[in-house]
Amino acid sequence: MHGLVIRAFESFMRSTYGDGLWDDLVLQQDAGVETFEPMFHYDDALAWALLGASAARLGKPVEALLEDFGTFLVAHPASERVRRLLRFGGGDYEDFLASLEDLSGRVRLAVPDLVLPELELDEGDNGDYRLHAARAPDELAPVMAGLLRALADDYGALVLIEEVGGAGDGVTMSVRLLERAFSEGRGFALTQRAAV
Amino acid sequence: MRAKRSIALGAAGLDTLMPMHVVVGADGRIVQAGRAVTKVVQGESLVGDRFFDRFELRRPRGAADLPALVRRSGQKLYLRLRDAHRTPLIGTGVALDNGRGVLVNLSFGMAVIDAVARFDLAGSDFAATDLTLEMLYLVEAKSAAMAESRKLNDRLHGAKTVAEAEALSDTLTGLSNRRALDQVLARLLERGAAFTLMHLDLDYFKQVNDTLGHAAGDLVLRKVAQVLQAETRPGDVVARVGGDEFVIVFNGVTDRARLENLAGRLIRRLEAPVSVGDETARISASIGMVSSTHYEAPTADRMIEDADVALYASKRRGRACFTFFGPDLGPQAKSPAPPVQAG
Repeated sequence: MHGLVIRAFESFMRSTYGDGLWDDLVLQQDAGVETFEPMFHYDDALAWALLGASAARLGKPVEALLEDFGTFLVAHPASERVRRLLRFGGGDYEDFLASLEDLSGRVRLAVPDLVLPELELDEGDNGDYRLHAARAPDELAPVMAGLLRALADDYGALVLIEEVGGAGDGVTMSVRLLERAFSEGRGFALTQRAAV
Repeated sequence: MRAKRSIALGAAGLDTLMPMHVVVGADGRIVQAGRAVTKVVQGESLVGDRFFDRFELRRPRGAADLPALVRRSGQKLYLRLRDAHRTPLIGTGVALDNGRGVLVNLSFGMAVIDAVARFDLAGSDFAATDLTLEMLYLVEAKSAAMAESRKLNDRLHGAKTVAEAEALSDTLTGLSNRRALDQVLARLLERGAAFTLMHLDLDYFKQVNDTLGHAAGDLVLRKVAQVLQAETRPGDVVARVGGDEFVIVFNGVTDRARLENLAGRLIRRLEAPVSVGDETARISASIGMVSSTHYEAPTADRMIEDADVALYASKRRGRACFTFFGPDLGPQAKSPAPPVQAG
């Protein structure tokens, strides 16, 4: 698994539950890894073991922890960078949803060895969307649910998101856009630099 | 020549396709301006102003009126906005039919990142086909990736420095270094082990360096290291503690006769000539020894100091010999004193 993904999860765990807990969890894996480098790759098994151990230690279902992680990626100041890169996807929530099909390509432009699942968006009637990720692990669903909800808040849209039993392979989410401009949302400036 | 086909396009359509356009009428005054241009001039209306009062044409040089702009139709223009920042712009003008003026389409070129921040431009200020947003995304994503890489480099560099500082071996000979020796001595003393510390200093090594050069000197030092390792057991520790100074810890050996035997053989083997190219290097060694059993409560500093005293006694006796530290050498050791043991 790419170090950036593990580091993002680490950042979530440290911000939410403190440094001690995470350090302890990593130490207990006894994998000869003390810190994760964002530009390295790590054994998938280690990543999944850490996830399982985190959930067990916190007494939470893995799905709930992953959903919090998805929310963190957008809503927490520590991952402002992720929020910004996602917000580049579009001016409103529907544009953003459409841009998810390009997400893995966009990410590869910046970090060529970071491979994300390919997403496919089907637009139904009345703001009804289906987001499908073929060949994605089941764990993607709760992360996406948290992330899509948090981004809806970010854009100020009101949405209903749930995982729907997929057509067999991968993960399928249902996104129902109830209201485009439900609240103010958070602003987004194209550059982070202060105006000169 | 057939008349060129024209299409009619309203101001709104033009604005959608080119948010950074300016239409200049036949009188040189601005007829209409796109929404992004209007935003750039803080929402003021440009309509009615003379184009060249608002924009400075840098290149091509000398084109400062409408006819010149018409003549440059289709060429790339380098302009500056006449604002406080003298915002650079690039653009192209095309002449309108029937001499009705010029349509100029503008862009920020390389200054786009500054301009987006300065004028607080949003995605909706760019045409849908404009790749500026994609470029800004890439700039930001690449900067983030670069920042992570730089952090990694810093960490690796720091780790390397620490590793070097904590290294336990001498890089030239591969023997232990002073730091390793200190750790070994501390461990042995901690558990009250019996051992002998031998301080060995090469004789005539300076001449090798001076006459045959430092490369030859390094070669000799590596040879010495090989001899010292061959003559000691795996449990012993051989450390290079100075340019041509070595310390050997004989773990579990305190028997005088055995140590005399060892020291004598070491000196003989080190005296074997070493070939350096066509030349031959000849060295020897002086040795001072002290055993932990000599003390009631031995300490590393004391033992090293006393071995040094014994070594100096060997040097004074004409080198190429060994000396055991003893009470007769006394604390004023480095002044002339009677030899204890000749090798």
